[in-house]
Amino acid sequence: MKILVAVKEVASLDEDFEIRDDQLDVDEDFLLYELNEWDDFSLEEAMSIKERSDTEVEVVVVSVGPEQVEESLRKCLAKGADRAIRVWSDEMEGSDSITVGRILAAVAEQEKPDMIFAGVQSSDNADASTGIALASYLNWPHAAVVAGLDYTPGSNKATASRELEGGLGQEVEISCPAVLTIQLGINTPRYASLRGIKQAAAKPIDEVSLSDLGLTAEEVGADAAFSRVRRMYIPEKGMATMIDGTTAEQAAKLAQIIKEFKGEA
Amino acid sequence: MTQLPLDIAMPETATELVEAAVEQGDIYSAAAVFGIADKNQRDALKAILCGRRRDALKLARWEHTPAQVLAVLAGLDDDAIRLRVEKNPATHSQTLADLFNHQDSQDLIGLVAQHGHTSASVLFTIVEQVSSGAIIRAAARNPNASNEVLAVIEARFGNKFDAELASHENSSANILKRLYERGNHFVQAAVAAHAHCPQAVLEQAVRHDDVVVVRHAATNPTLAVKLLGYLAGHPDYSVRRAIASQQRLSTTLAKELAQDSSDYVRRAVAARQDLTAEIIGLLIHDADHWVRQWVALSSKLSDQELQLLAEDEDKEVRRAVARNGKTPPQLLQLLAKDKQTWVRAAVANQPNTPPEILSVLADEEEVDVLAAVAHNPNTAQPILQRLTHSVLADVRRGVATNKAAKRETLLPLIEDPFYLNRLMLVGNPVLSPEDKWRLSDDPDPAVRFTLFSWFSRQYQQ
Repeated sequence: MKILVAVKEVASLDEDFEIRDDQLDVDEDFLLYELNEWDDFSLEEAMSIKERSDTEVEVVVVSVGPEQVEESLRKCLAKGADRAIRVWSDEMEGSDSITVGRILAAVAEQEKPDMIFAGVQSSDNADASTGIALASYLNWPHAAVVAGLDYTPGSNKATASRELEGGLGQEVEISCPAVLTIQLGINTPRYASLRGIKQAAAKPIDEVSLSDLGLTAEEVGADAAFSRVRRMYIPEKGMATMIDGTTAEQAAKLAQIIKEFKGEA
Repeated sequence: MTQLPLDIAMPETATELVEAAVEQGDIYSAAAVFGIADKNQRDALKAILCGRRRDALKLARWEHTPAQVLAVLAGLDDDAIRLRVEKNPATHSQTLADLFNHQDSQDLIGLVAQHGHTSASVLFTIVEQVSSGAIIRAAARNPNASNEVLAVIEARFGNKFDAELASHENSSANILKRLYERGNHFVQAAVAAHAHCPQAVLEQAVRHDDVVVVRHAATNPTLAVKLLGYLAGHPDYSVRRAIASQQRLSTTLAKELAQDSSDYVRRAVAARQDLTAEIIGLLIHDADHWVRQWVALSSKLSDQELQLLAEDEDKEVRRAVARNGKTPPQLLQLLAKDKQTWVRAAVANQPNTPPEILSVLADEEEVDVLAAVAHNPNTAQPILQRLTHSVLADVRRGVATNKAAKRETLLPLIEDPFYLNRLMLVGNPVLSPEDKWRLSDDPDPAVRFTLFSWFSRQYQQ
């Protein structure tokens, strides 16, 4: 039995950064990279299922990106994933979330997993569509924002608790294989052991290219994307009102603001 | 995670340590040893530290980057890096002075003006030359601003920054006198609380018709003793509370305030370190649990009084008894069975708690109790060894920071999955340098930096 977990290495920003000259992205020198937080929960869910199961379960992580993303893949290996796949060809540059979904679907068609997990969204682009696009290309059942899961490997059904707005929950029964996008808080991700980290550094990562997947250049990349970035910019921020004066004066002004806010002034 | 070589032998000298860092090529190890490197080695280290812009940006931002490395980064022709260096609290005053002398950007000057390491002389130049209100305000708030700096601000800008001048600890009595004469009530209050406030001004302030001014005067540590008595009878509780905290308060006045109608005043009395047995007797049955809580921390309590408070209905009072260093073992044993987790955790944290009580608490499941047991130097080694296998990182960290943990107890934690637990081991004197060197290729940069810093200090000339 196999669970395929789609993961992404996301970019995070420090407080000072610059936009690139072409105004399409942040200058790469200011970006810090890490495993997408949602994907950490996805992986943990897969690992929990693997460890609870009486049958053998293989957890395979896959990511679309250049060599840099191997750092996140190795983190997954260190946490216990059995195998890691990196998918990349230069033609994939500029792919949007839908196109990445197509690429991942091609991987799934080769790997033939029994279940696919993806994070609800990535913390950098926040499109929240890769997992669902993947399900669509595979024509598989899917459930989004899964905050709880009852699944026995090999079963043809799973029960997923979905997190809705307003504090509501929804329980759905879904036929398997399926694609589930996993929500934060579904579990408590483990720390990788030091031994695991060191062993993961030496493990091989399967590299898969465009042609390995049977895809053409026209099906991926910026030209195949359903959306494109026109510009990225830092919006003008309004100035906060600074409360000046001595400490006692600031406290008095703040108390007045609070009273006005509460309608008591 | 960084792919680092795993086979670097433990260095025996400063030179070997620097060479190990150069061989690793890791910016964090390189930063850690920069201070002990010779000139040639520093050139090699600079190539690592500044070789990639993104690495230089990272180091310029990182709060642990040594000042000497920040000085190197400040010399790079890169405004973004210089901005981060100016914001970094570790940047040395000379680096800030050099940055200030070579730039015109108001934003960067503003950062220099507010930096905690900026020297008084640089601040003096700023307030003489700059007119931006935001920058002057930053300089006026800078703790390093001397009285001369503040005098220039007053001379150039009149009363515009009176609030900042009145609050600054370096303001002279002369400045404060002028501020009191022209300032609003808030400025007058700040002056009245100031350690340099002239006594003549203080005598006016205690008779002010605005209670905010009087209250601030009441907190002034230079307040004449005769005025303490005058203010101890003030109709406003906030003034009496301030007097109750005065260090030079007489026992007579303290006893009077211990019977005050205001809870706030009695709490301030209860928090005093010089409580007499008589005053304790007045407060121990107080209706306000905050008062009893403060009393329960007093080192002057008798065993009977501690017993009484150990049975208090309020958990914070019982917890305070558990924290009290004078609480005898039999009471700690009673409190170890308290139904409130925080009370039991306080017992586990108490350095005087005997091993047999800690042994019982070690069977708990509450993380706060277990972590405290793990950290307590009286906990038996077999229990500590068991706790090193806890699934809770906080519990394992308690062992890592336990002063009495033996080497064989700590060794498994070198492979702890949580980076902070490994980092805590670097400074532990029980582990040998060879033990610690196992962390030289740690995947976490903070651990590598801490380790190489530790070795740097060992080999520093």
